[in-house]
Amino acid sequence: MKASKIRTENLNKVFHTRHQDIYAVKDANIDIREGEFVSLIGPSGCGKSTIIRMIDDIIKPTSGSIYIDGKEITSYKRIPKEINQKMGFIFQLPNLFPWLTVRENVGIACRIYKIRDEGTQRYIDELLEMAGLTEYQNAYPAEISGGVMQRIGVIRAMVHKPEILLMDEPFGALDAMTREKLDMEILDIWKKLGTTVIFITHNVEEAVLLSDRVYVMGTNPGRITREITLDLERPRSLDLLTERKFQDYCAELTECIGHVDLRKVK
Amino acid sequence: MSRMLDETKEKRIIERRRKNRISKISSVAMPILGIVMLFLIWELWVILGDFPTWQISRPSLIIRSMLEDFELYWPNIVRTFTSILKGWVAACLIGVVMGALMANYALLGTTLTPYINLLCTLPVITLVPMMYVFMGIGRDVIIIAIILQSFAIVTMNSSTGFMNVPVMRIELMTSLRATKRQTFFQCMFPSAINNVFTGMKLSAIFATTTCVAAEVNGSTVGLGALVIEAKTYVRTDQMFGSILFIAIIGVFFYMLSDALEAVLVKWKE
Ligand SMILES: Nc1ncnc2c1ncn2[C@@H]1O[C@H](COP(=O)(O)OP(=O)(O)OP(=O)(O)O)[C@@H](O)[C@H]1O
Ligand SMILES: [Mg+2]
Repeated sequence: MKASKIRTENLNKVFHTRHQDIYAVKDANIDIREGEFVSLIGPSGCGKSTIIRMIDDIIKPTSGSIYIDGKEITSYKRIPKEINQKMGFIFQLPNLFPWLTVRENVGIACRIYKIRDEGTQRYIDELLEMAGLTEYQNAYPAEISGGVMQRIGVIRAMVHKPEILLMDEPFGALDAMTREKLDMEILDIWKKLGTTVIFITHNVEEAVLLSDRVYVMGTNPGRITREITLDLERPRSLDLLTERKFQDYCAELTECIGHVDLRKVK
Repeated sequence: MSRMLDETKEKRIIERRRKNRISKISSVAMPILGIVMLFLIWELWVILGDFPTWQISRPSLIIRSMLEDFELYWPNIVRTFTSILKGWVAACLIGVVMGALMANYALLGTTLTPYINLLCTLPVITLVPMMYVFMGIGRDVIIIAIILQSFAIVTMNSSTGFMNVPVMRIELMTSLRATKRQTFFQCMFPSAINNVFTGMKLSAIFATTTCVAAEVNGSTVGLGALVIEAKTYVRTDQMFGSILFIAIIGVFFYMLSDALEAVLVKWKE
């Protein structure tokens, strides 16, 4: 069995707002091995984004620990550069800078990390090619469509060759057809690069289609309620959608999430 | 699929270009037409009403004076122009820096905001006579008055811009572990630049009016002073000529910031 890549121990996050304290994440324990594709699924507001934002050090946990490659990162005021560069974050929205061209947007990490070798430029070419964006590379974000923008958001997180991809509902805003297409592209990339992926979604099919393992989350307080390992063969294709085993998993997951929702209503 | 996308995109671009062309032509032609109409009506009104020239001048006389007495206007034009330029440039720099500081340091922001709002609404010209008493009649007072009146509006607008940078953009910079400096120059500043320019345009107007008002109030040089002088010698044509030159300078500065914006901000949010 491969080594643990990302591990959290009793991770908690409380947001103090003017009117109330929001328990966004309560005692989350996750353990993800190297090269694994794991999804976090749950209803809106259950703290999915909060978990991966803590892992990427965008926000600090209230308590608990996060380990990347066995190294505790929560005790740092600012995580070391080497650890930060192991991760790439893909946002819920494309989140592109409108003043940069597509190519410049893709290369933003290199600019910030001050990586200036020729190999990187070639790698950007490669990524653009892979995502079918070469023809758009000199366009500005205002000139392109939503699906294309989200692709840019995805490859932007990969230019510095991270070992971990944290994907926050990357295709949540897209139509089903485009989403399935991009899901397949993600699987291709994942297979090629061997990265470890945490993928957030609230779409059951998407989670089953992509993942090795799924964590189910519930709201109020946001916590992990179930963990399901998917015994489905790889490589996967959209044909899987019609298979019995696939549908059973989907039903199981839907039920888990449903239970959570009912409890919340009470 | 992508071909189809391209086609609709192309259509959109052509459509946009066509609209732009119309608005470009009309945005120049219509105001000029308006001015010509206004001058014609004014001219006729004065002639038909048989007003004496010491009471009111008419456009043909004013324009003749602007051409014939150009040597009289010129040093005053230069003086007013350079005063505004110096004050405005200083005001823009101070304004942007203060706006950035106030947006980045909350305590400073909450402390200074009421004073900035006060300066925006207070007519600084009311302080100018007192400033002349303290500092003597001179150009420094004028430039200081311009700065005081016009930096606050730049501060107000740019700090709004810096504070309204979408959170997710900042989070992207945090996720890349960017330094404060990188975050400011590569994310916050470009995000806020539209607001900065709005402030600069308004401040160009403030700078012009304040400069002329200060000159009217006790200077011997500058177009504002020339207005008073011409009035004393009952040269209404020169008086209106000076006013027209002031208007031209004001429009120039406004258009200058517009042009700067067009060159620097090539993207749409
Ligand atoms: N900066 C913040 N300040 C206060 N509350 C916050 C903040 N960020 C998140 N929350 C709250 O924490 C909870 C979890 O938010 P989070 O964004 O992690 O949910 P999510 O599972 O990603 O939901 P979605 O599917 O809608 O993206 C929500 O109730 C949210 O309102
Ligand atoms: Mg979210």
